[in-house]
Amino acid sequence: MMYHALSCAAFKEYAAANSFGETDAAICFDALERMYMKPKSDASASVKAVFEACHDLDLFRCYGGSRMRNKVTHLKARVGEEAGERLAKLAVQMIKKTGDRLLYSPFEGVPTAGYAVALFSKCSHDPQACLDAISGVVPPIKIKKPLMPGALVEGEAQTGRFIGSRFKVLYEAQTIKWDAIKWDEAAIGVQKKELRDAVWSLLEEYCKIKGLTADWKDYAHNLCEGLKGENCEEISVWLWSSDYSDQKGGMPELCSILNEALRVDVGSYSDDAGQGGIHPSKLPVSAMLQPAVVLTTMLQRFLNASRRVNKSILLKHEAWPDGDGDHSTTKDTVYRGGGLPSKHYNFFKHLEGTGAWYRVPHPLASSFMKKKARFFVTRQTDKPDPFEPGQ
Amino acid sequence: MPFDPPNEDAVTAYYVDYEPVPSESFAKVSGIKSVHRPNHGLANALRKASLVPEVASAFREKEGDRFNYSASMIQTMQTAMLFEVSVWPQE
Repeated sequence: MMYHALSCAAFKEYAAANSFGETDAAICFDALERMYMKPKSDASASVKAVFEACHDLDLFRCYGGSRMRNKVTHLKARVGEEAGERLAKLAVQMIKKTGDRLLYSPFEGVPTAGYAVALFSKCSHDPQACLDAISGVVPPIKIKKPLMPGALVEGEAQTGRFIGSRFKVLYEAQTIKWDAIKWDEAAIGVQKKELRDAVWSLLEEYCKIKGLTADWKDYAHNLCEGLKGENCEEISVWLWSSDYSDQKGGMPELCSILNEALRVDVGSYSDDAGQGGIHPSKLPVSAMLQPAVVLTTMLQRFLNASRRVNKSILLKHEAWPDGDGDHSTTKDTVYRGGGLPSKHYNFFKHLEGTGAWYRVPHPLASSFMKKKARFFVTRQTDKPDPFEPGQ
Repeated sequence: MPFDPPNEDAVTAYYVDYEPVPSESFAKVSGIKSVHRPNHGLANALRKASLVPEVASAFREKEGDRFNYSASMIQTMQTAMLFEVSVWPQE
């Protein structure tokens, strides 16, 4: 607040020493001094609102998605959807044009990025260069369109599409909840507790559904005892890649349990009862699903490349497979080894050459090394079909 | 580091660079001048000032004449924005 007070005083002094209207300067001073606080007067209230909006719009450089979306929503409530969108675009483009860091961008074609160091330096030392950059031609920006499901591929199960899955509904709800409570800013202890609770619930329900007599609490204790990570990104990675299992008790690695919870949901849901599916309201919701959603949302939220930052620089690609033979078999290629139930073979066969995408309905592990993928193939013999609930 | 979790007693989290951009050592090698306090430097000030007429116009369209400012008032407001710095934690 000391900087704030000093800068307000500096403006007052500057305005008095130069040819600014006395009344205008006084109103601006009042507005400046009371930003994000109760306005000092009716005359300064509107100016204060403009100042706050200008300040908020430039926060794309240093605010994450949840905080910035709230800012834009607030602005749109004042100026309307269209104008708010236009101002947000303008602000994002100004930041890019001046080489500043863009920590969050809702616009397709304007990706988040770290500093364009040379440009940013130029615009930070040369006022005219900065103004020229700001007033440059602004290209139109496309708004992201929601994904829509494509036509069914022969062999595709008609009872499940990701876009209509209960997972997606719960995922959206979880994201909205975390945005609303500003979960990103919660203490690390609070975040860890939510993670731990989700792991415990998932394991307990997995044993119940499978009819296992394994001591899931013992499994949970052993798994979480080795929990490592200074932040939730590290913890998520650790949980996902942990190889702890209880083979005697029938409990595989946590990643397998998590994926099974997600697969069973997507594979048994239909949003179109008229095409031979069962209406979702008629299907019981697996108790594994909610904790699985929390864990998956955690992975997505913290492992999304656009959110990863190191020393103020957004990390784009830490390590692509380089095909050196020691760390990667083939350049720009990863391998996936696993089992494929025979009844699903036709689906992939018909997908071949269509240009259509197959979106894996859960986190998918892969390897830079072909031999590692082959190792996982050898583990699949006589395993049951994981798409069948209760298997 | 922007995505480091804040201290438990922190009211809110901000992603602020306290180090110059680029670093002093890189500046020596590259010849690119470092920007100190990069979050609240010249670029930030000029962008906010440049937004004033656009934002005022948007408010006027929606909320009417109390946002209808004279050209000299807009200029004063833009000047004020050049002096505007962070106002945590209220923002």
